[in-house]
Amino acid sequence: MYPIELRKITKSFKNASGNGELLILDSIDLCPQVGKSTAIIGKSGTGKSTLLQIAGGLDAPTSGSVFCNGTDLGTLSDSKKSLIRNRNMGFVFQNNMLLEDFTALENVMIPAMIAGKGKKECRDRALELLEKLGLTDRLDHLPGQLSGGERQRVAICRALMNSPEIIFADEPTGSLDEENAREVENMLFDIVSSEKKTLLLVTHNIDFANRCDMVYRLSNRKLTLEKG
Amino acid sequence: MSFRFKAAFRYAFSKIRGQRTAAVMITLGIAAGIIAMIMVSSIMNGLQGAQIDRLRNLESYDIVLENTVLTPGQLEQIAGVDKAFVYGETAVLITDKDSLKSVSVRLRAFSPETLRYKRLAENLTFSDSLDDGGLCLSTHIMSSLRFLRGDSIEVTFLRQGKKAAVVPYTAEINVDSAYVSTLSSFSSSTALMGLDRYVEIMGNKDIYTGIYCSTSVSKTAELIREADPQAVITQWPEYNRTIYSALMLEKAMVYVFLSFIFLIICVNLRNSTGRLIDARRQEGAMLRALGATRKDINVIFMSQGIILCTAGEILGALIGLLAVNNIQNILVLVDAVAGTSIASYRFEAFISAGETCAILAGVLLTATLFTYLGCRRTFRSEIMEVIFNVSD
Repeated sequence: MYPIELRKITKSFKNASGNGELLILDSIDLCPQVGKSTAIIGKSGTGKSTLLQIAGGLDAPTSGSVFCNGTDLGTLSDSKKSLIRNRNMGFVFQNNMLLEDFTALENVMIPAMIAGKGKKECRDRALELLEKLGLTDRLDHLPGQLSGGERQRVAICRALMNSPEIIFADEPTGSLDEENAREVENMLFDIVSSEKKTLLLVTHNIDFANRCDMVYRLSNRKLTLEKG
Repeated sequence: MSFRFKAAFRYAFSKIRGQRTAAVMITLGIAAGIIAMIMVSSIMNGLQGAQIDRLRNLESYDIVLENTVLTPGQLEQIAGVDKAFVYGETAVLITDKDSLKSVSVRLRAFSPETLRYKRLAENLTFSDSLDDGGLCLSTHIMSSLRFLRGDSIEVTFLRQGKKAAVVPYTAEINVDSAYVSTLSSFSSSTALMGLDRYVEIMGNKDIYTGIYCSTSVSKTAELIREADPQAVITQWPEYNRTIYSALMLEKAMVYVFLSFIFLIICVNLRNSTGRLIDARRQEGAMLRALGATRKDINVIFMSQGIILCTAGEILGALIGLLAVNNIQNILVLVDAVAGTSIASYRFEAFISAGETCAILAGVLLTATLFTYLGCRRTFRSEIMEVIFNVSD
């Protein structure tokens, strides 16, 4: 069983006029290897993020199935899907999406708090992750008081909080300058490798993608293997 | 504290500028609504309480007859009639000849025999015996116009004229006596005089027959109607009941209007909450991506609404109750600013704990319902419809 497995995924959107449909993904199969990093590259507008969102159960495919450890996500209720997202998946988005009213420490603790874990357990794990990513002096800072790179590192810590099997990262360095981007890349790979997580990454940065074990290219609605 | 309530508290008292402003506006809106409801209810209670007390304490005739052909002696022969008196009643203007200060009073004219009747005598105290030709004023009028017994004052009547319907007529009358009374029908703005002098000045205008009953007022009224079908009969209990019903209707209507005001506040609350939630849609969607269920998100945002509503209610109740306890001071202030004289009518505004709780519970329930409607609409959509990612 794989932490995530996509079978014959098709996704289409209705045209703005309401007549006809725009096909984005056409019968895509994908099965990231356990403990390995997989990158999906492609031009803007090809549907990379949509594919990642479908894989993470954040969006529903038009047809096809997404399996998480053998369970078809399409057959699950909202609460069961939420439980799987909370325990098995971690998300890092381009614009980090931190909760603005919570401190860095609290933002990291949120997935564990949603899971109903005790405060001490949550705090200890969050402190451990924030320390690994060099944020011990930023614990009580609100997101608005952090730099872009620091915010993205907090987002990475949050994605790892419940020790999920798979991390979905959607352009995690897309909004950062080169120096910060390189730092976040290094930290992401270091922590994913030290925690032995499966990483599914979407980027249009070829250098970043090439640091992954496998690289797929999404083009013309199809996925083709480029590396691995 | 569970994550849901921690998040709700954090969102309710957010430090983010736009959010904080919206939350403050919602809280103040609720507080204003609560203050309005508590104050209007209290004032209505006070005014109605005073009016109802007066009606209940009113010691006047059980039945009043106009245009009757029956004499008091004939009326007292009817079963149920305890005593019948002829009296006059009209509004007059009393003027102090020295200071030229005037005051409008109600003049009631009785025969001395009437004032000896036990139900009046027990509640009226005179400083001196009432001379048939003189005037007896309440101690309040005496002190406010600085009259002394024996003073000759000007009393202006409106009586029937030969050419005009009414003409003013001023007579100089001596002040013979002063009185105090616990009866509302002899309030401080009432003057008394002998019936003979009254008839001499006014003729038969504004002359009535008052009847005290020993048994059922309505049955006695029916018997009087049989004896004198042309007489206009007014029964005091019936008259009082009408006023009482009118007061109750007035209170009910005020509540209806208050409910409309509150409905408007609730619609605004729903829109404000909707705007608050709209601003949080991305965060809500992100929480769902982190594993929160749709129900969790609804609970967080509904709790946020309830917290703001409760804060507004506490603030509104405190200010409202404080204002109710200082209503006379507020009215004096209003008079000073607006040049009115509403503070001159003294009454005690009050609201019961039950009424206060009912208002607070009603507001909280309505606000919760409208917040739920706002949440339901916002979080019906899928997560990725909300999280906008620009990487593609």
